[in-house]
Amino acid sequence: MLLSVARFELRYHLRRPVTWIYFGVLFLLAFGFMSSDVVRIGGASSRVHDNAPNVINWSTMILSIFGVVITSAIAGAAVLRDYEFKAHELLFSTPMGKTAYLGGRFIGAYLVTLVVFTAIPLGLMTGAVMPWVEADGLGPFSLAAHVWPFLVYTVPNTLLVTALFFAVGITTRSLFAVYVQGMALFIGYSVAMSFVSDLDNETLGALLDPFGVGATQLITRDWTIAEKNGELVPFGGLLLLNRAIWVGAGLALFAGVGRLFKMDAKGLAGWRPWRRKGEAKAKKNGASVPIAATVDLPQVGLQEGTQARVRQFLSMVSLYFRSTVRSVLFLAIVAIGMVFMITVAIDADALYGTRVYPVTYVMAEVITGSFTLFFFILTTLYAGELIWRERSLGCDQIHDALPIPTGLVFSSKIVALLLVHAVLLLALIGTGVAIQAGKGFFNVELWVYVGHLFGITYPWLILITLLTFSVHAIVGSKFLGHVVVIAYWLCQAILSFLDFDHRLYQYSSAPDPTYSDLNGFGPDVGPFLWFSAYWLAGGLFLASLGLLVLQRGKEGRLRDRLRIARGRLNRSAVAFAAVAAVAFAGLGSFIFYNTNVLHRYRASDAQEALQAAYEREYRPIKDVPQPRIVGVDLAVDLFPEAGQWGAVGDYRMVNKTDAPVEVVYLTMTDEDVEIRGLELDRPATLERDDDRFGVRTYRLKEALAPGAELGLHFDLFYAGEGFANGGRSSAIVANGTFLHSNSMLPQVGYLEQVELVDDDQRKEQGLAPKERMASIDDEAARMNTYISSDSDWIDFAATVSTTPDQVALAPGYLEREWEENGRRYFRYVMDAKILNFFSFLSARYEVRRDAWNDVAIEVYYHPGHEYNVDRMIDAVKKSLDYFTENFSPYQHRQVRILEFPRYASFAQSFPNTIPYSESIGFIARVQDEEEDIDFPFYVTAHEVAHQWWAHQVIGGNVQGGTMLSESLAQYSALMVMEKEYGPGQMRKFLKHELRGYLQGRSGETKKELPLMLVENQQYIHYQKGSLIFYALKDYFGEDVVNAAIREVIEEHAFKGPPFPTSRALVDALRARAPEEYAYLIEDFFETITLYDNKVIKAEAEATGDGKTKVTIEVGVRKLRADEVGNEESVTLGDWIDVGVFAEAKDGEGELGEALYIEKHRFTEESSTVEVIVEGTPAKVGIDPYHKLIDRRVKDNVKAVEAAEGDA
Amino acid sequence: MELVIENLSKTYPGGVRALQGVSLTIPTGMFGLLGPNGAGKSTLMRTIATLQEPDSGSIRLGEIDVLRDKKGVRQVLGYLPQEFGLYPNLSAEVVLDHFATLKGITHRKERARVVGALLEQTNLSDVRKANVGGFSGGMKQRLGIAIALIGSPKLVIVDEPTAGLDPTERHRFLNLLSAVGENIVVILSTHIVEDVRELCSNVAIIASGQVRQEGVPDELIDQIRGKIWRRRIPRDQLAAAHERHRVISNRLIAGTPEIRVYADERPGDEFSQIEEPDLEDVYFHQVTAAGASEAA
Repeated sequence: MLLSVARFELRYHLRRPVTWIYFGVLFLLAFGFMSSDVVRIGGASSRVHDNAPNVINWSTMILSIFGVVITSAIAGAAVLRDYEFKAHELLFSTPMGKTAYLGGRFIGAYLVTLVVFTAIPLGLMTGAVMPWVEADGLGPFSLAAHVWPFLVYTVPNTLLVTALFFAVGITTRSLFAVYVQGMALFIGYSVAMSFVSDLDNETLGALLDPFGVGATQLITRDWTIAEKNGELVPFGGLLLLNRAIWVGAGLALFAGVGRLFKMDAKGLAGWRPWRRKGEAKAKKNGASVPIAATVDLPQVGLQEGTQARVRQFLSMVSLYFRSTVRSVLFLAIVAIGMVFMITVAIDADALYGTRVYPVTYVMAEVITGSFTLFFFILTTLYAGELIWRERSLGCDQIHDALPIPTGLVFSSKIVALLLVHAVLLLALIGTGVAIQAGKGFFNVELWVYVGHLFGITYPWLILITLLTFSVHAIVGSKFLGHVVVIAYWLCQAILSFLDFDHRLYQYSSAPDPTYSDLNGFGPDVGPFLWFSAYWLAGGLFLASLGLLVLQRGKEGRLRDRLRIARGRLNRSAVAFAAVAAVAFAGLGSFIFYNTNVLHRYRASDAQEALQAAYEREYRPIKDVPQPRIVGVDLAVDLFPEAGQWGAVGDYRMVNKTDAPVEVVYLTMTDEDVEIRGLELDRPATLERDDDRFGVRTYRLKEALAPGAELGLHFDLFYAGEGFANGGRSSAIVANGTFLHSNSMLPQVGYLEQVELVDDDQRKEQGLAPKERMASIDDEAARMNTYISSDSDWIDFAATVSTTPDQVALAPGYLEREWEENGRRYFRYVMDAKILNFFSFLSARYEVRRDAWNDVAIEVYYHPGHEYNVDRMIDAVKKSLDYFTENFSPYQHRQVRILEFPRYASFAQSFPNTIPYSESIGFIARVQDEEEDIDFPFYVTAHEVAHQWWAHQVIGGNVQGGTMLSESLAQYSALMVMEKEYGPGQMRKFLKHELRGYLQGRSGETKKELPLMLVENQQYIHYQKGSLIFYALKDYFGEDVVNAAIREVIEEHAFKGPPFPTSRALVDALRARAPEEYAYLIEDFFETITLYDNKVIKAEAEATGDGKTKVTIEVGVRKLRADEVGNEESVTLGDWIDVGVFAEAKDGEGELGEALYIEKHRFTEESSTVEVIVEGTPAKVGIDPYHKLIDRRVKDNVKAVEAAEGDA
Repeated sequence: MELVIENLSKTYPGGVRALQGVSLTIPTGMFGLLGPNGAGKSTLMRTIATLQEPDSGSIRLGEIDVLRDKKGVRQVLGYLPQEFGLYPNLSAEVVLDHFATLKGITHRKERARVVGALLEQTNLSDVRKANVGGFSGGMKQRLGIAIALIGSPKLVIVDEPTAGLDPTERHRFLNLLSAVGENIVVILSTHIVEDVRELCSNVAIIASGQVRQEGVPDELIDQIRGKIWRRRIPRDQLAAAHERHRVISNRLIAGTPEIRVYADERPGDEFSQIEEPDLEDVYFHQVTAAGASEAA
């Protein structure tokens, strides 16, 4: 019986055309994943094959999740169609048993779903053999790579989801509930993923993820290119557990609900959530009651004036609103959403393992960010529900025959949904405030919530609500309406992938303003409003079209509705549509004028083509001798309110080459800067003015001899007119200007940084692949620093003016400050040579001043952001202490930290000046100095260290250049931090660094390099740099490392060209390396070396004299990885920490007091160590503090067992 | 006020000809529209109720051109469709109140009076606070007519209102309907002859999209008086009888089939004349005739 029901079900579905449509959709999606570049997941890059097992794994996984929609449709049909067709009473009265009925349906539906899902591997396989898919991006075909993820993800996920849909279907007998459950699944998924991203909960998150994505993420996140290309995801550990949990949960739920299920007309026994108290009462009434002989009704007039219409409108809005918010399902959706939001919001203030103050914009952005999808789903579902409410209730005919304008009904539904949205937003604000209060933060800025939620989110909600209603009205059916709406959003997403990203044709797209405490909602408010108004006009026009063809009565075909629409074209309908259309066109033209006339709009591929054209055209001039900038004197006028600036100034340039300079190339990279004057102080002709790239070619009448000077006077103005597709400039703003010299001023000669770097992009543009950086042996490249190709050490002075209530800053010392013509002027002069690297800031600052010896310390901050100012000053002082004592004297007499708005979130060290984003240090919350990493302290120390590492010693523009600045800045900051917070904190910090390094190398798209050859790869020069230098300090000793560093400073500070390479430091270290640790130079700097260390067994045995002998069996492997991560074991001879630890007390973390910690030399991959300790050992570890790079650190520590036969 | 329907035709996309040149003149009072399932009654009702567009023809209600001035019709219309549902979570009172607002009774006090009176008349006062979702079929139907009667309509259309009601509820409903139908046009569409016989002063029989006959019930009965014959017949002769005579109906009387035949003369010795034919005979006569002409 069971099997025959299943067979029937299978046949039923396989004969339905829609089943094959599902198959086709999945096939096309999979095909598209594989055969186009639109979707790139699983690490596909120029090095990871498009059909790498990891790519196929992720593609299958993601597509299986999308497929939930299909599963819901199939399972929904299997479990609900009998009710829908009202055949259930017929069926349930047959002798068929419950098990056969439900079980058979389930098996049938499950098998059908699997058949449909085979479209994924088939689509992926077919996609890979398409002729346009380039063969060199493909690896060998592997059937297992396709079958494996199907078995690991698709088969169990589909089982779980089918079981859940069955459970919900038989419980509620409502297809809508099945949709809602689909949403709950997505949200549950997001929750799990947000857990995974938090380090401490990663295991929990991985287990909670019902689709296994979290577990897979956890397993594969460190995978190198080689592993991605060659390995199947190992089915064990967390992934196995996850799969088992969720398949079990699904089946258990299904079985549980199945037990409760009764084959009767009423559905689930004794459980009808929508039963209302009125029901029973109403039933009693029914006996015969005499009827009045005549019907005598009061005569009343029917109103149809404006006032009546308003009342009717309000009555409908209130009915639709209440019926929506009161429904159980709606409350369920909101509850799910709230849980989701609270989950995310509770961690909203997390930042690199530390916390920030939960200021209002942080909370508001969490809400808007995490609720986008939620609102999207809600709107899609409920617009469909509301517009067809009467139809689904069955009172559409009564309703349609009422003397009430169609437009009034239509608009009341729209307004009701908007009201629902508004109430939800208010609830979210309440929740946000509650979370803030729960975190002990009471500086709630309500208007910031209101600005975000009602200023930015709500307009968007209005737009998508209008669109969704209009689509439903035009399409004319709920299901098709949903399909079209979802398809529309998918298309829009795909279009933007395909570089069609102008907001003029991306419905509801507007540049969202970013809130900053300094600058409020900032410069994008204007453009945001223009775009929103444009789309509002578009949405209203669409709605007016929808209203014209909205079905009223029984004529549902589009042709009939169009005929009826003609009758509806009365004056007001035409006027409304016309006004909307005219407004849409007018606003659109205005926006186009701004984005495409005042500014230039380029899709990203056009931008790439432009860069490629520049390279083709100008690359030949790369080695043409050019003068170098040696002095800059500027007068910069900032106009914060208008968003404008002017810069008048002079370059002093010198021909430092051996050849005469005949031609000078000057480039303005920002095409919005107006060149009012550009003049050399020697006779020259403007040979070419190439405004495609902003390159001007001047031919000198008389060649500039080697050593001769050349002056350049320029007069530049940035008018900040209108807005671009992306909004307005965030560099010059009302309060919190941060202008960087590179984009402001002319640059000399060929700009290599304009060239495309990504090899795939280069290929698309017909360019040959390019090395990321010049070789460490390239002597010519060392003639430039890695930050500038037209200058190195310069003299600098600048006058900056701004509005009287602001302070304007530039590198240098304030020589004079004055007011003139209602503006405030500052003259800054630098007393020593600096790199050609400076910036201008202006804001209404508070200043806190302090001093360290004769160095003035100043922090310019936004009033209200006092939180960490003292911490920063403290860090500056301690940094100066350590650096001057261990490295060299500080070259300036001042350190200034300048807060700038969070349009960027970094701190950057300019000479004696450190612009510092409000988002990364100023609102950091260090609650517990023992526990938390003091993030502002660390960032400040790092940036102060850059005054040495970059501003004293700067590497040449070759491989390894950034090791000298970034890795040394990391090391310097670590040393300052360790002095302040002790080694325990360092371990915590380095744990993050290890995680970051391993994940960074997994995301490598080209090749990983050893530290000393780093090609500006952040995960190497920051994260690996921290790990290596800290370990080096541990092995060599701090003094040795610092001595080597001092040697580099002595030889290279303020010198060049040629500029030093990482060899300078590595050689200095090698010369000082203690003999037994000399091997580390090769491991740490010259190769990619990893360890696989573990404790296999640890036994303790009392020795009788109160001591304990601990016998530790350890495994040690040392691996060398090549540039894509292929590993091979290498011979050992390594010194590695072995530690024995007491039981951890509260607050000590994993390990307690170290009873023993010494380095042992290991020469074999497995060996045994015996140590005798005092006290009671609880845990032992090899490299327990994770000084070495080890991909699996968990097995480094193990609990001690009592020895066998221990008496 | 009179409802005049002229030459109304409607063909559905599938080729079903739901209405074929229907012309009717419907005076005030109860008007019965009799016809079997699928005769085109509902299409006609919906067309009059502004919910459907005919391919051709015209409808006038007094001065109102129904097909052009939908708004005008809707203001004087009360429509109770064949099948309907109502907001299940709302009480009868709230539902009525909402519809009264939408109909144009926007003064709160007036509305309260109207709603109260309607609940009273439809005998729903006791359950005014109960959720509509829990109503029995009869209660729901009464609430439906209450909605249709909001605002004292001039034209009330009820489409198969008694199907599925128990006898008590049916009587109650028909009583109510007859009480309102004195001064306005009430069109009762049904396939239950009894409903019409009890209530309607005028009747039209519609089958296969055409009006077969129209008039006062008694006159229609007079037209077939003396032409309806009946006989009891063994089951095995039924088929033969159907071939030989114009059988308009057959029924079982104590287990034996009895057929009724339309014929000008006595069709055979076994037949006896029905002295007092009823409306049902008229109906069956017309419906079978329509079936015959359709088949021909």
